[in-house]
Amino acid sequence: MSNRNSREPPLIRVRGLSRIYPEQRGVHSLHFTLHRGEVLVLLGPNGAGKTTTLSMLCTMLAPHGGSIQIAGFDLARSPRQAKRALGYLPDPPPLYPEMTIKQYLGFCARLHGISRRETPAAVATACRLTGLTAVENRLIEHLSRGYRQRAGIAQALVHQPEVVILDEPTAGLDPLEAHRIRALIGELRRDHGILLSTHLLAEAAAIATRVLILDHGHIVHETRLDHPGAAPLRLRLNLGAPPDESRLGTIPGVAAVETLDAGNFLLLAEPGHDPREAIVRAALDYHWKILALAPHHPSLENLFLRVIAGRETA
Amino acid sequence: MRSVAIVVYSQLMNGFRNRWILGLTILFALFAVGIAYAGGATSGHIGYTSLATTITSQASLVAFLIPLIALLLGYDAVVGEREQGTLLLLLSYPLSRGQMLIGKFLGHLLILFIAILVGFGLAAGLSSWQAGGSDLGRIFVAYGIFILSASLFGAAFLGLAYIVSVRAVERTRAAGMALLIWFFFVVVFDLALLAVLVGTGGNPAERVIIPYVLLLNPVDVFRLVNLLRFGHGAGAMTLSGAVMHGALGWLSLLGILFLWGIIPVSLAIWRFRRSEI
Repeated sequence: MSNRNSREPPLIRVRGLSRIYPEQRGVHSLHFTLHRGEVLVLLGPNGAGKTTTLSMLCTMLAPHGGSIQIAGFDLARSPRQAKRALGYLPDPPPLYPEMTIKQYLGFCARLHGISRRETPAAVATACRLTGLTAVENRLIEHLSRGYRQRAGIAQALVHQPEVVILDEPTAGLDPLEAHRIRALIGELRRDHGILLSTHLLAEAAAIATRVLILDHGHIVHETRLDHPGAAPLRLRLNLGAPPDESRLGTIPGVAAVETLDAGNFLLLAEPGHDPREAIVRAALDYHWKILALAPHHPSLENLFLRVIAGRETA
Repeated sequence: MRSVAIVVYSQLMNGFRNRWILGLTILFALFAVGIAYAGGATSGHIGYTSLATTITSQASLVAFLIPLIALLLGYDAVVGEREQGTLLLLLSYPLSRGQMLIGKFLGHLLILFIAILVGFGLAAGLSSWQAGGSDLGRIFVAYGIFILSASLFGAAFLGLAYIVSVRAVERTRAAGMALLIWFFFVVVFDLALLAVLVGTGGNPAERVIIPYVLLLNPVDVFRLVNLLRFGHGAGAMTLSGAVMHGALGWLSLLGILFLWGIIPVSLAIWRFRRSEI
């Protein structure tokens, strides 16, 4: 999906975005894009610059440098057109408790420029998408936290924006509601580009197609989660009668070997090669008693810790 | 303009939902009708007195009440949205900060205006009925001017409330500040002026300056508009009436009240455009 859509112009194009606070805090010269069909997740420790970045994208903060384009409109020069293409869910969800869901979404739709005639249909669609139809006439103050979160997402979708920005969309929700919201985000991905900030690594791993790790206002790592095959294959091998580590390194297609413990090895394939068949053949030929061979995907948590911890020790 | 109208409409609906409009209208109607009907009770007379007496009595009441109500309506217009998190939402919409503030201000002003119009409109109707149907035109013109001046007066304090709301970081601090503003303009200002006049014996230079110092207080400007328009000498019985006598006419003072209605809210918009959220 990302390949297909990456041919389209990006929905968000950020170039050299900076916002400097005293003591070198803020964000420094960020560059990134977001395409339709992507769920781009900003990850980072507290103070990394996630909220500052989102605030600039939503015009709450003025950048000190760089530019932001949303759906082709420069946010500084054509803020209204850019904002029309943008749906934003801040954390916590911004609601008017004294309104019903229908009144609230109607108000949001009208402010986004939807005509009075088209507003009921837009509200009904947003309610259907977010599962709010059954409670659309209830006062927001009487709704559960999960429904309130959905109402916040519904207001971000009511005008059918191309870009949806969600700040901590599952914060404070029980596991079932969080799962439903993630499923909803997965569905939204089909027609929108989604930029999301979260501190939950499992959530990022579950829904992201791409992750940007921020630290001290810099993008320190970018990884795709929808194309794990693009990176060199890593294999975990368990042998009952293992040879020397150096012997495994001679198998065609194996670039490097790391011994984890007795009989357990981590093998790094040469780029573009899959040495699994050669490994199995060698194990059978030399009676290494192969017990397990499987691809090894380092978890996002491992990646995150490695990147952030690596920077801290550097 | 369309965005402003949507915010005004939303604010107005909110006023109906939380019963601000209903409550204020009943309050104004009770006081206005009460004064129109029983304003002469102290002189042993119940019923219609004179239009001038009725309106000047109502103006005295309004001078205390409207600033308080306008400040209560507006003090959390911005800081309340900020605390609720909805300010972030509104600013992410295709709506400028100025449009947002103007929309909220006009919505609040409309709430105040509806309450004043209905409340004092009832008083006008009662006055016409008590007058036996005579002088209808005069009564309605008089109440028209009164309602206009009361609305501008409300706009002045609503604007002051918006300045507080834009600057405040917490709703509770904004409420405290709003009460201080009410206390200063309604109670302290005239007392301080009186103290200066009495203390110095009212030298000629002060007699020239003081009328213009009164213009710095919308409460005095509002009182003067109504005293000079309807007082027929009653204005001279008050400090402000006495010192203003001859310096400016009621129409000029209505113009100054109009400026009071727009300058504070303009300052609030200016400040809001430059503030960081």
